[in-house]
Amino acid sequence: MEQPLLEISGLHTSFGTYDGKVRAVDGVDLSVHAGRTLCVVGESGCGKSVTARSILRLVEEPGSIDAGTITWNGDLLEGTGEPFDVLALDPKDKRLQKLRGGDIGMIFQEPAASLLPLRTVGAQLVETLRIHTGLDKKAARAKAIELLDTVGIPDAGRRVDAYPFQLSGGMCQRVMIAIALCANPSLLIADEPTTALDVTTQARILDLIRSLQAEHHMAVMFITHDLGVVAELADEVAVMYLGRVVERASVEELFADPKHPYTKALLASVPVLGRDRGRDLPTIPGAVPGPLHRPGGCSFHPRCAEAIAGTCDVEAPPEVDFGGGRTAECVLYETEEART
Amino acid sequence: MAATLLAISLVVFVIINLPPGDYVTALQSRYAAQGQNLTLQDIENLRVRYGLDGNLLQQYWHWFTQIVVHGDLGMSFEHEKPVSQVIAPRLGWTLAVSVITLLVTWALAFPIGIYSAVKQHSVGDYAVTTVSFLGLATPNFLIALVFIYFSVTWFGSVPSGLCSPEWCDASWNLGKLLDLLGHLWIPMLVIGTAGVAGLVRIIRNNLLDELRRPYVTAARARGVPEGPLLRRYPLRVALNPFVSTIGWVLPLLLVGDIVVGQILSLPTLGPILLGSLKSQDMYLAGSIIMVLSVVTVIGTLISDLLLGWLDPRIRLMGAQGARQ
Amino acid sequence: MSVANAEMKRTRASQRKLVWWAFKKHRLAYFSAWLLAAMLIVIALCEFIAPFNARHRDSEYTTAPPQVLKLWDTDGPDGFEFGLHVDGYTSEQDPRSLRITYEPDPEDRVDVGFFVKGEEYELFGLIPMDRHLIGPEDPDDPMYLFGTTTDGQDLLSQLVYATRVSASVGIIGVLLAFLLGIVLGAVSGYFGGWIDNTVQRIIELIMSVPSIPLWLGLAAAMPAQMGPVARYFIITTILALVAWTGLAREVRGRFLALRNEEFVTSALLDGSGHARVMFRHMLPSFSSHIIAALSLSIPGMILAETALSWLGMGLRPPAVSWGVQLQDASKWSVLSGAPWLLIPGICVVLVVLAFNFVGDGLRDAADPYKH
Repeated sequence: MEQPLLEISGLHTSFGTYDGKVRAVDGVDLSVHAGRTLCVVGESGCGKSVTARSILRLVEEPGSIDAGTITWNGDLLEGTGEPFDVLALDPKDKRLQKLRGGDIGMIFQEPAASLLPLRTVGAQLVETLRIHTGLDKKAARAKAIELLDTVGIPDAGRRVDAYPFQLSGGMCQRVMIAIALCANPSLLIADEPTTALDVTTQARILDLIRSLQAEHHMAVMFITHDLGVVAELADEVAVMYLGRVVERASVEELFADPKHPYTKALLASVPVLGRDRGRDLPTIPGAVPGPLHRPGGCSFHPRCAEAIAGTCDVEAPPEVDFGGGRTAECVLYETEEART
Repeated sequence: MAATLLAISLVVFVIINLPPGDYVTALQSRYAAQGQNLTLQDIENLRVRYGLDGNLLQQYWHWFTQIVVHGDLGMSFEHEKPVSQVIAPRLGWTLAVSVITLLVTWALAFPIGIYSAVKQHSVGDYAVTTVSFLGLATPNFLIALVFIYFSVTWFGSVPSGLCSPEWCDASWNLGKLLDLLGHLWIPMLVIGTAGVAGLVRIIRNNLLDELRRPYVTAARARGVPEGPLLRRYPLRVALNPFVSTIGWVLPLLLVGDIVVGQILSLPTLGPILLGSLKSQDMYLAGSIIMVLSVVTVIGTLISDLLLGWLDPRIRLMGAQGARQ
Repeated sequence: MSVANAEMKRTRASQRKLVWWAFKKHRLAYFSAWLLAAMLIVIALCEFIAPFNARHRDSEYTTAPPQVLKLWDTDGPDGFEFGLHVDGYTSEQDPRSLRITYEPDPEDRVDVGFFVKGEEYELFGLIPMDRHLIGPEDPDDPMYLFGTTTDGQDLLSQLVYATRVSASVGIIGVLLAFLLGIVLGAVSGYFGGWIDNTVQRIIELIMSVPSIPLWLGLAAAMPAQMGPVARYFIITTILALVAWTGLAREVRGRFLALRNEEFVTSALLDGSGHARVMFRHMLPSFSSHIIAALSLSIPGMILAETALSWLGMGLRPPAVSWGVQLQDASKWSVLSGAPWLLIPGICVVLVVLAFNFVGDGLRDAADPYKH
């Protein structure tokens, strides 16, 4: 298989709280391939956002990245440099600076709160442009208007001087996307960018991301809890539960043949037009346990319909590799692996 | 603004009229002490002269119009001259000491507060937090007393006033200025401590709040270097409450002046306010309270204007919008 | 205790319990709460705790320095000897200034005991007693652990009585302010509209007048010959009249936020009257915030009373408060020779800090998501 653009391996990120250490990300391996879309899906609190933030080392106190490597191969693929481990960089390293906003653009869940209310969107856009492209003020402003136009902001020449609080949430997210696109990044990390928006705006933003991805040949790492979004956008999918990736698959395989009981339960709880009329939607019993009181063995076993007593609540499940990048972390397929 | 001033004038008028008796009764007892007895007619004439005839509302109207139209604040019983003549020479010094202290307070509190927030949980932060808690909990007269104690045990005397005797009557030159600065730091220390402590806490708490906002993470994610990030993002927001503190820091300083002026005998309004309150020289006391209140209101107005200039949310949407 | 058990306990705990647990984790606040509890005991039992009565005066020992409480004696007649005692004083008169200075005298031993017989008093104003927590075995001996004042009064006893006065001015003042603030704030936030507008304008007007000159002005209007008890109540009322506005704002904000909550609507639909909904349903839901706000406004009151009294505008002798005590230290010629006169100042700082920490701790505990 070809060299991935970004490789996360053995990532552990935790947060110190009054009640103890919360292991938000507990050994995650992921890879993102150039030009493709990876969707990371899971319930809230499963560690998907923290994983995304760890990539650019944006985890703040009291959180800390305890172990793992995040290898950026972007420079190697472009032929401009060597791969490096993002986590091993000095915080003042130029490469980290170039990664943030240069090679990797990032957009967030709350677009309006992600922009400083006291400065115009233009000023914040121009600032980023100048950091990464070295344009002078005038050229940067012209480029800023062009970018705003690209992301579909009407009347960009006027809106460039607007303050974030004068724009709608959808508009703010477009501005954030424009900022992320400043330096033609090879990866866009989107951390639930549509969660705070209404449904129609959501669809438009997704369309925008898809068309921009095709245009700029970007890879996209899309964090979401919405399986509908996954079906629409993803090439590959990683399902997370309590800080671990429990299943990896291509989007077709995932929907056609989910392996992990958690994935199966997730898919079953999505309403399907027509099918679900007149019957109760299946739900996953119980709630996500607090990360402080992680169940022993497989962390999903208390909610799992197929749990095997004496096994699932005792031993950590093995990661079963089905080949072709398809994995599931479940004891049910242990024998299958032995066969292949 | 106008309504506020009107309200202040009402409150001050109430204060002036609270003690039993009025200016004329005070005069009367003074004459009586000198063996002169005023006739009822004399008293009536005096009352008319000072606008003290008629009911309270008429008296208020008379007092208020005298101030607005003639700038006449009434008579000081103790100093035996018009209140305005007692206040005027001291108001300049009071404002000078307060404004200089305010500027120094800011100059100290701003960097300390930022340091303490950015380096949260460091030894320096703990030291700053401890000192600012102590500063807020210590009444400023106590600071003055402690200062006096050390000053006397170490130097054998207390530096008082705003100038040394040899410079007091001299005209303004560099020597006098240096001498003034040499004296000024003491009242500044005593008056400013609570202000610095309060401001450091405000800056620190605000900045800590702001540092956790999504826009900081977002700016970091797009590669804004740490220095400019701090300056252009959270500091911009944390500056706002700072400006709006003029409204409460200024009266705090003016009040500190009452205490320090008392101990160090400064040529400011504080000591005469205290004196007038003790002798129930109510026109003088009321007028000084009024002047201090007006200064505060003007300070608040200035800070509101500055805030509007700094914060586009207030400028474009009004205060209502900024609160959301 | 097992993890599951802890989880169970947590989910079943009442709101009040949760706040208390969170509060206990704030160590400084927890410690401060104990300090304040101790202070309350001192306030309640001050006649018993103070070695001497408030009026006690010993003109033989004026401005005498603090004595050190000693557990044993090495230079007594029998050599080493156990027994709680302090050293008595020797005095020396400066022949030129005629000023008398006192020095501890190791030769002169004053035996000290607990629960000793001393001056008579009435505990809680009811029970006649003559026992004091600590004091000299012979009531006529000098035992001045914190030194004496310029009048020859025991600073420690005075401090104990002053604590009762100063702390209670703060607490009673805040309760008065709170009563006013909570009623007006609640009405204002609950009903909104013109009622809210009117109350808010009044609050703004009061807030626009700088508070300390206002206090001074109102305090100055008190007749000079007024008795100490009347003065005490008027000072407290004045402080409360100026301070209620902040509390009213806090309460109003909470009511405004809660007004549209479902439990309020359902209580109204159940036929509860407005007053019942406000004070039985809404108010309890943020009572920890209220207690925090109360605790945070007490220091301001205490500081104001102290400053007023120190300036001679508040309480006056024979009433003792921290401010009145510190007046003794205002003359620098006195202060330079008697730094112990500043001990009441330490008390002010400690109590103010303690109220602040308890308030902060409560606020954080009541608002687990705020930080």
